[in-house]
Amino acid sequence: MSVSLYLLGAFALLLLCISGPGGQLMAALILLGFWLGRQAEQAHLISLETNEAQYQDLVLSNSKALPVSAQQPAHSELISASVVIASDAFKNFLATLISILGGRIDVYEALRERARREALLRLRAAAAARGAQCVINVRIETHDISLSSVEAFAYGTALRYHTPGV
Amino acid sequence: MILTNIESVPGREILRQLGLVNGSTVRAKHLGRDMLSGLKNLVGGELVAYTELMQEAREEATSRMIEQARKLQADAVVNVRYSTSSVAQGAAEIYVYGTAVQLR
Repeated sequence: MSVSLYLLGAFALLLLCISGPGGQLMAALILLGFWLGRQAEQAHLISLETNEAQYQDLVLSNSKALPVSAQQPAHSELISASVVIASDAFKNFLATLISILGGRIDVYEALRERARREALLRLRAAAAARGAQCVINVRIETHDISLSSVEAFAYGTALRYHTPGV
Repeated sequence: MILTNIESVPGREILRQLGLVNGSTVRAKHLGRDMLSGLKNLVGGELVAYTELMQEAREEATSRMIEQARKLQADAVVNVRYSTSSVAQGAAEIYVYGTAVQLR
């Protein structure tokens, strides 16, 4: 996020504050969104890091082919996972500012990436819960729930082999 | 009923194809149970009520597809695809389709 954007944001907040009690309330909510939203984002990123490490052995592929070295799987099953994540008041405020100026809305980029990572993580967890070693033909869909919240949905075919750890 | 989103059922042979089967459902998102979602839109984080709602919708659409496949005496549905579209403000359609097949 650029410095000029921060300055513009601070200026817009200042304008809100001097525009009257309604604007002050709005500014307070945006600042609340800044603190709590940042905390939620940091906590989510940390949980993603730790949980993704847990499923490192589980291979995801978006090809339809069976893993080359593998024999015929004993069991195959369609699995899916999804998550809906909301942005916060501060990020929405920033996004509104950026869309006036034009350019890259990185706050929404980050939101969408987190949603997709979480959906893939849950897909891995669902596969692991079924004893699968890999998930093939993984498809990811992103769907806007509202202006500031997004759903990521991932699905694929989980394969389980006779011998664990293939 | 076996579901896969690839053209085959690994380890099984497809005897014959029975045709396209599908299922769909339209769900409204703004239900009483997601009162908290408005607040969450302020502070960020997962909207659990919405996640569950979309999951239930997909399960329902899928079970409608499976019902159709059962009527055709299918053993499996292959090449399953999901799609989501917004019908109106605050409502989403989940559509799922695939090819019903008989296995040897």
